[in-house]
Amino acid sequence: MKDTIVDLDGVHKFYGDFEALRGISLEVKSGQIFGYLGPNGSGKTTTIKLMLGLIKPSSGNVNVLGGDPFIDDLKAMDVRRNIGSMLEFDGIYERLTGLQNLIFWAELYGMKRQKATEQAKVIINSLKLSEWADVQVVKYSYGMRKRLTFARALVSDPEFIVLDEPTVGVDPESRYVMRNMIENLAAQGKTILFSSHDLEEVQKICSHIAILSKGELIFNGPLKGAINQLGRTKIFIHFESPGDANFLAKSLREMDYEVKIEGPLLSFYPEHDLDISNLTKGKILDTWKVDASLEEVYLKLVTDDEVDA
Amino acid sequence: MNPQMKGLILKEVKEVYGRKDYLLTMIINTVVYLGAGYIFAVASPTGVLQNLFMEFSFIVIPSFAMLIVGFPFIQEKFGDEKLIRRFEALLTTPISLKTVWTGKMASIFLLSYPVAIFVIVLLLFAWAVVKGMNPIFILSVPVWVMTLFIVPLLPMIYAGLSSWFILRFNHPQLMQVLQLVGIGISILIFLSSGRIIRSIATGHIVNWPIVAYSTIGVIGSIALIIFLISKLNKEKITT
Repeated sequence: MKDTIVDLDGVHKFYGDFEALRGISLEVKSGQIFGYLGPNGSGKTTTIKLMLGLIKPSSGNVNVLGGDPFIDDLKAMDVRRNIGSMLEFDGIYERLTGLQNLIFWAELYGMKRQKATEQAKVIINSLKLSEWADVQVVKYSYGMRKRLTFARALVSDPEFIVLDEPTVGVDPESRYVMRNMIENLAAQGKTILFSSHDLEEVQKICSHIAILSKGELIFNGPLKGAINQLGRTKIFIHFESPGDANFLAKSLREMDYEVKIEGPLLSFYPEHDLDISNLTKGKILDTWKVDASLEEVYLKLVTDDEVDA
Repeated sequence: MNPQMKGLILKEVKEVYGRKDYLLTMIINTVVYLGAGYIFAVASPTGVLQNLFMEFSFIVIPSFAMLIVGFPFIQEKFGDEKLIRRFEALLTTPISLKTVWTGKMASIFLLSYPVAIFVIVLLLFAWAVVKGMNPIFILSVPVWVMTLFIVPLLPMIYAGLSSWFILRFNHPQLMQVLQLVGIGISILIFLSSGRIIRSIATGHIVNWPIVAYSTIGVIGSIALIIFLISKLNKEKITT
C-alpha cells in the first residue's frame, strides 16, 4: 500500500483570468480521514476535481495513488479504479432501481455482472437500504438518495474515497449510518477525503484537516493539534442582572480579556486560571465552560485570513 | 466487447425500453408511417416509375423515422446529462470520454434502428395491401443494402455530429438549433435526391456504384466524427 495517497505540489488552477487555486501543496496519507474545509468559492471543489482527474492543473503536479488521474491512459484508469467519489451533483439514474444503479457503477469499474451484483447487495445492506433496493430511485427520499450516492462511492471497494458534502441536508439517521460507515472504512485502512461545511461532523470523524481560503491553504495538520493550538476554552457566566455582567466585563477588559455580553450573559476566554470571585458583584445564576471547537478554530482562521487580505 | 462498454450500453437501453414515452412514440410511428406507406403506394404511377416510387419510399422513410425518434435520445443522453452534470460522475470512473460517447451512441442506434426496421415492415405491408406487390422480390439487392445498412447510418452521423456540438459548446438552445438543421437537411435531401440520384443511376434510384459512393461518404463522415470526439477536452464538459 502506498503511504502517500494524494500529493499536490504547487498546484495553480486558472479559469480564464480567475485563479481558483494559488499554489496548493498538500499531502493526504494512507488511512487518514482528511477534512477539507473552506468557505464557498475557496477552491475545494476545484481541488476535488483535480484529484478525480476531471480537470488538469494550470501548473504544478497532481499525484493520486502514484499517478496522474487526468489523462485517459491505462495508468490513469488504474488510478481511477481505486478512487470512489460522492460529488455534489450525484448523477444517479432515477429511472433505475437503487440496486441497478450500484450494479451499473460496479461494472464501470470493471467488475463482472455476478460480482457486481453481490458487491452491490452487500453495500446496499450495510447502508440500510435493502428494503428499497428494487425501488426506482425517483421514489427515494433525499436522505436515502444521499445514502445511495454514498453506497455508489464504495461499491468498487476503492482505496481512496472522496466525499464532497456527504451529509448536507441529511436526516440524523442517515448521518449516523454514514458516519459509522466512514469510521469502519478508516478502520479497514481506507483513506477518506471529507469536504464539508458541517464542522461538527468533521470534528467527530476527521483525524487531519486542511482549510482553504481564496485558493490558498491557511491550515494543514492534525485536527487535535489545530484545536489545541488555536482553540480556546470559553467561560460563560449568567448573572441575575445585566448591570452585574457589565461590572465584571469592565474589570476583565482592563485586564485585556476579550469579553462578550448579551444582556445578563457574559462570556470570555480565560488564558490561565483566573479567580473572578473578587471581581464580581451581584448574584451568579449559572456558570459553564465550553471546550474549544473546530468551528471556533475555523472561524478564527478564515476571519483572520480575510482581515489580512 | 469491453465489459464496461457492455454495461454502459445495457444501462442506456434499459433506461428507455418499457418507458411510456418510448411506447407512445412507437404507436405514433406505426400510425404515421403506415399512412405514409399507404399514400406512397396509392399515389405511385404504374410501370417503371412505380418501382422508383417504391425504392424511394424504402430508402427515405425508414431513416427519416429513425432521425425523428433519435432527436429526444440525443437530447436526453448528451444534452440533459451534460446539464445535470452526470458526465462529471461518469468521468470519475475508469472509463474514457470516448468509451462513454461510444456507449451512448450505440444505445441510440439500438433504440432507433428497430424503428427503421419496424417502418420497413409497415411499408411492406402497405405495398402488399394497396398494390398486391411484394417489395422483397421487386427491389434490387443494392436497394436493400442501402435501405438496411447504409441509409440508417445517416441519422447516426447526424447524432454523432450533434453530440459533438453539445459536448463541445454550451448554449441553452443548441439542441433546438440542431434539430432544425437536421430536419432542414433531411427535407433538402428529400427534395433534391430524386433528381440527383436519377441523373447518376440508370433505371433505378440505387445501383452498386451509388452504394459504393455512399459507403465511402459514410465512412468518411464517421472518421471525421471520431476525430472530433477524440479531440474533445473533457475539462470543457466537466466545468
